[in-house]
Amino acid sequence: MEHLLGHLSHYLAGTAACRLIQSSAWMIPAFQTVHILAISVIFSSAILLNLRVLGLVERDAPLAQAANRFLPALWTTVPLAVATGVLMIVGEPRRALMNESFHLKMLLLLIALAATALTRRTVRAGGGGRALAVLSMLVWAGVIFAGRWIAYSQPG
Amino acid sequence: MISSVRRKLLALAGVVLPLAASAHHSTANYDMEHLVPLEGTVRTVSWTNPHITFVIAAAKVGGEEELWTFEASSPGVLGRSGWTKQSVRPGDQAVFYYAPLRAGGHGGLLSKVAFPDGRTVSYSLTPVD
Amino acid sequence: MNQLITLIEESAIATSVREGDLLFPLIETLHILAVSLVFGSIMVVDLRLLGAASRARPVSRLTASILPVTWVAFVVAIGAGGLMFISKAHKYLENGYFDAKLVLIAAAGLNMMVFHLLTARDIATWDTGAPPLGARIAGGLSMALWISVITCGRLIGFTMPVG
Repeated sequence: MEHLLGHLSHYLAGTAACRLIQSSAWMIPAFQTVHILAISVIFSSAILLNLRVLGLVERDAPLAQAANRFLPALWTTVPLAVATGVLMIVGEPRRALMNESFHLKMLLLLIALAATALTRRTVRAGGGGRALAVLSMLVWAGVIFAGRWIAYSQPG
Repeated sequence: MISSVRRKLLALAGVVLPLAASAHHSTANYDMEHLVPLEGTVRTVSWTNPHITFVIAAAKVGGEEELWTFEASSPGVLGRSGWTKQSVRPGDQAVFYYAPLRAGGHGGLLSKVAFPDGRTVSYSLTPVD
Repeated sequence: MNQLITLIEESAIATSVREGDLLFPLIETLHILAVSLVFGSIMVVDLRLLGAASRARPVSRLTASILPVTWVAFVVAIGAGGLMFISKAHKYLENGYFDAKLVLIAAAGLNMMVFHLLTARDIATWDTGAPPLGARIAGGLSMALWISVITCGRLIGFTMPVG
């Protein structure tokens, strides 16, 4: 896997897109900012939905209504977060692809998405597991932790 | 211990020369494939999160001084590679190895410092294989 | 004032944040989590005020259950932000984007106050219907302001004065 990522990193480093991003003073800051705004929507949607499952917000609204409010916002914003993330990887392939915090982030992201899909299924079935709700929130927070830690776990 | 004359000259340089430029750049703006050496004297060390910064005075051909601003990673990262807050201090003379700004300019991402007595401190700019 | 700021910067906690290896990243991440929640939760309310989402839900009900989350997140964000601020207070104050961020947050607060004191006075009349102009302006302005706050926040890191 590491070998594969090394090759991908090497390939991306040679692309014109990579060189363009690296020569720009504003692109990375712009990608990061949009990425953060997208993450805000995703994380908040996950937290608010799970808080509703736990009966802590929107108690007077049916669970299904809360799900219909927060889940679409989450799913539709993930592509934006992914797109800006890809752009940042293209701009700094090695920094992302060879960094263990980044690997952890991707793993946690997959788990978070799976947990969210599972939540959708259980909510549709009428109920919501409390343990799943707490776990989901922790995993989503973990994605953000790991994302920020990229800069602190590895020079550059 | 620097002589009082040199101290006065350095003080003058601080007034006449522009303040070391701002900033942190995105790491994408540094060419980490090619480290460049610069010989100079440390003016300031800012051992702070999230980025440590160094201002180095390098001698130019005409005898004037030019100020370079290097940034580095965080205290945690440098600490784990053997640096301490005292590793590089104001007044130290050394050779500084840095990843230059792609756009040029008196800045860079500092990777390694080599002192006259043979001592070196460094950390890896990119994930090691 | 300057001396007070220096005193705070030299405190033990500020020094730990400034020079330690774990504290700053932890605090920074907490700040990001909190800010995410502030923005995301406010967006739910703002979209309702704009009449763009959650139209079936009465405004007063939505704000009553969502805004507490916003407030808790806001307090955490300020706390974490404050800890980062004191680690390098002078430098942050010199940074235009940091200053702008504080002004924009104040403006967002003012916008919210105006909404509560004026537009929301007769909320019973438009709670379940189409939001009036005042509500739509408050919602749109709020979103624009908070997007600007987050943008300025990210740009602080790229424009810190050195030396």
